[in-house]
Amino acid sequence: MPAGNPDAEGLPITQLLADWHGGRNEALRELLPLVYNRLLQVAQSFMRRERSGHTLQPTALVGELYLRLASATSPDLKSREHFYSFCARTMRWILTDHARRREAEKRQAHLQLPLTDDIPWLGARPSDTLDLDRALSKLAEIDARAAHIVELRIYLGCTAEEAAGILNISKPTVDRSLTIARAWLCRELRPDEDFHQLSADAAP
Amino acid sequence: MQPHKLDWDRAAELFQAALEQPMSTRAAWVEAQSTYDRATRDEVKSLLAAERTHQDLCAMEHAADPLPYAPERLSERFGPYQTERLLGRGGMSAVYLARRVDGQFEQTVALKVLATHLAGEEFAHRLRVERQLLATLAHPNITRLLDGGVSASGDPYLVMEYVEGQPLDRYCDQRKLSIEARLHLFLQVCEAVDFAHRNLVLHRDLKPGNILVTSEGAVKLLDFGTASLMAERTDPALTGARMMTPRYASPEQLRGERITIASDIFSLGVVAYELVAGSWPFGDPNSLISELRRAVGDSSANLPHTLVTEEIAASRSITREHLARMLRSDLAAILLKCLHPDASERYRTVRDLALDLRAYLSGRPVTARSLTLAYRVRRFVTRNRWRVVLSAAVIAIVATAAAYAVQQRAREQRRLAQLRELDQSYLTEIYREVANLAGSSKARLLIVDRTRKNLDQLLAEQPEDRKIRQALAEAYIQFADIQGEPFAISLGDTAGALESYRKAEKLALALGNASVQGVGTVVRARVGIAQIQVRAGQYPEAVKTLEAVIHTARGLWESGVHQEVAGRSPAILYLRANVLLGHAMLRAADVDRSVPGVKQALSQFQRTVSLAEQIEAQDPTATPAGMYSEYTGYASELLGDFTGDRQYYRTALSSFERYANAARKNLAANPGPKNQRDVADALVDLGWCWHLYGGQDAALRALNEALARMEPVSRADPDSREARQDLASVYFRLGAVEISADRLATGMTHLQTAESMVVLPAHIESTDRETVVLFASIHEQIAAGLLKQKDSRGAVRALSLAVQSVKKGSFVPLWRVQELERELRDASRRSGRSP
Repeated sequence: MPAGNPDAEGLPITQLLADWHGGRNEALRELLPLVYNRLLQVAQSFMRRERSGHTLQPTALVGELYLRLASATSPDLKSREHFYSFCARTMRWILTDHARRREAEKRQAHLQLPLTDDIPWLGARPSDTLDLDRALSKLAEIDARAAHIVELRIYLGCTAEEAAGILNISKPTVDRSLTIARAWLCRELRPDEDFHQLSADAAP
Repeated sequence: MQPHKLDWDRAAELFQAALEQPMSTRAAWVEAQSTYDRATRDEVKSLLAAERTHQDLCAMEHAADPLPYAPERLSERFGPYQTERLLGRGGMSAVYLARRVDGQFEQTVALKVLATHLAGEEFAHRLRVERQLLATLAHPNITRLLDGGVSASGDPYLVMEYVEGQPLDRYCDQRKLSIEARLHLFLQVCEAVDFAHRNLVLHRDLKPGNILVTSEGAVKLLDFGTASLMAERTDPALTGARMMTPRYASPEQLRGERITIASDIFSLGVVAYELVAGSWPFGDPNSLISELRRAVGDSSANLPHTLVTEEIAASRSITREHLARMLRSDLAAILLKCLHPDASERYRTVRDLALDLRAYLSGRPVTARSLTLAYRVRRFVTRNRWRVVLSAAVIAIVATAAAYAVQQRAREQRRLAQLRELDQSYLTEIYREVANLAGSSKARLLIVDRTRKNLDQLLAEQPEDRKIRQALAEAYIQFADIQGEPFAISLGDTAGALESYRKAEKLALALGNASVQGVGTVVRARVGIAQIQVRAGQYPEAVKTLEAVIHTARGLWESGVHQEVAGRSPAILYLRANVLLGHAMLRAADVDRSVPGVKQALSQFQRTVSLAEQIEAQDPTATPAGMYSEYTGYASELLGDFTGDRQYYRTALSSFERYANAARKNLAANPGPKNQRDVADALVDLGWCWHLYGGQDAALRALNEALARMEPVSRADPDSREARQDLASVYFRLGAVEISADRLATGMTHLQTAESMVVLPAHIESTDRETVVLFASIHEQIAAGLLKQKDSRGAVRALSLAVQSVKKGSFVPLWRVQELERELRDASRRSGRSP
């Protein structure tokens, strides 16, 4: 994990966050390199479905993230967890925002959800970006932690180990949350598939 | 459908357990778990079904082909053209060598097939417009756009003149071309781009790959204007502006802002930089961070000579030393000017860039080197959009600006302009900017020091021009204001401030009575001097200074002159002198415990209030006169303290009421922390006075409201010593009121809170007077509380601290010191008597 767990390598991410929150804006610039690999990976995975080169760049996406971070008036990010979560949420927001604008213009959305190995079907449909955003908000009301983990997983490309590290919970807990979240999201986003059958059969 | 009131944790638990079961029996197994209610079991079954769907979808997804690359479109027809060979492929297009096959005539072209989604009404429309525009671009160095359209299979395409050649960078390196030869080629590029710009066409995507050199050594630019054809204009913020190659893109392009000539100039700068220096100017081209920094205008190009290697030099057919030397010349300045993060600081036109390059090649001076003071100051005071000004940058700019000003020995007129700049932008604005930066005290010190040297230097030149002398005097005054500001600058350089005011006074006096500005400046300087005297505890001296100046100030005000002197109108100046005079009188009377002295101060403050009323009547935007009732309130309260006559507290209460009302009105009209603080301040005064008058309930009400208002203000600005002290003062007063009402526990808690907020500096200055007084009062009240709790030893300790603190400087009136000493003796006696 090159950039997965900076704190474990003794890097002062928490201190930098405190500094940033305290108004020392340069702290953000010292902070970003610490999570740079992570951000780049995620941004690249957003682009994987489109052969890039001359169009919207992964770097441009992260650029947008950076700009939003830089213009956020140092939100109260107390810890590494807050920071990563904030990044994930901002990514989600950028992506959703973009998709929403495209939708408003009745255009095909280029910027699609990244492929994640454990939910490979997600992002196959152009509407997934917006639908996932809605679904996650709904899931957060039922199971905030699961929604949080999915957010880290999808929008920040965290592995289960990393998510566990960030949220300070065990990996099995993350795995369990992901399993149920996956099922829940599938039901929410692919209601046209035939999963109702089982439940209908068994009902008295 | 979500079942009502579903216990999600229980459902999750059952779901996990069910997953342990074989797939085929899961539903039945769940159904059998009767300890879970109906809704939970149904939910889990639904989720299990979804889990299976998920697995199915996964299987399908993995079986699916990897993303198909667009098949090569060989031998396909695009209008009258047929593709023959793939030349290259980009993200949203592929370029083919194609031939005209409609028999009209033989023609080989480059045919660019665009991503399908670009087709549509809009593309057709834009193609028409752009083709017309591009048709005018008949230039030997620009490849022509010949045709375009949408193929039978729905793919939009563009047809361009086909050029056989090599990309500019590869062409140069392969031939090991010298710097001069490279620059001559680059000048051809400039000519073409300039030609296009004059025809109102931007390139938007200049890079070596779009600049071909034919075997005859002729430069041909590709893709002119096609970037705009490929852009999706309806979403300019995201896509349209991002049709670019980040490596050569300007910061504004990276940010997705409007693209101008300056953006093309930036890209040209990167191309030229790489061409001569052999490296990308911004560090590692693959580093995202360097791109991000460029986007926020936060990155400047490396000095090219620092990047020279043997290899780079060899491919330019010169030695490493020679190349480094060339790159240390004006050539670097030209390149860096193109690469300026601020578009307005680059070359205005490509023509200007080319002129400079030609000047360099023929050894003439170039324009790129001149950076004016005006520019430096302007750039500095322009609020940095990302607020990441570094102290180092501040120091560098200030130092350069000052050095520039000092070195400049031009005509008097020029110096005047310079002074004005120093006076208005430099001093006030830069200072304010820097003062807002956290941890900038070093930079502030440097500014103060530089400015002083700078002004002294100008003074030593003994300028003859009256305007210059006037401007210099005003500059000294503004400088002194900054020097003397006790909290904002944390210097409290009262001696330095005094000296600066005196210099201003002397300069202005020499201007004589003929000039209103001159007279005003004298008044302004003397008011400043008096302020420093008050701050330093020299009350009688301050009274004398003010009495000498107040008549002149009145004259200025009554003459109806509206000219401001160093940022203050005559009305404000006169009012300020009056307030200050009252202050000096009150403080002087406080030292001597003089009742007639306080009465004199009271009538001075009453005059001030009625003056403020007159000013408010003339100018409704002026500070409400009620705000000045604070001072009459103080004077009355002090009379009450000194005489023991409670009637004075009654009078003080009505003054403070008026003050509080005015402050509330101010806050309602103009919400903000400063006005919020004024209201809280008024409530503290009011509450304390109620306490002295004996109205404990009213006292607590006012003080609690003050606390509620003060706390968020203090929280919002945790570094502000002033805000913390204000808050401590409220807690102290609350504690005192509670103790006097015998609610000892509550009272002591408040006092301890107050105590924790007030820290005495190791070295006490006259500006710390308020802190010392508050510190002593808190410990005095703590002692009172401890005595009531029969802890006379604790009381002795607290009072010792209080006595020690007031003795540290000579800023606390002697009677007060003696009062505390008396209390200490009493407590010691009691402590001695107790077992």
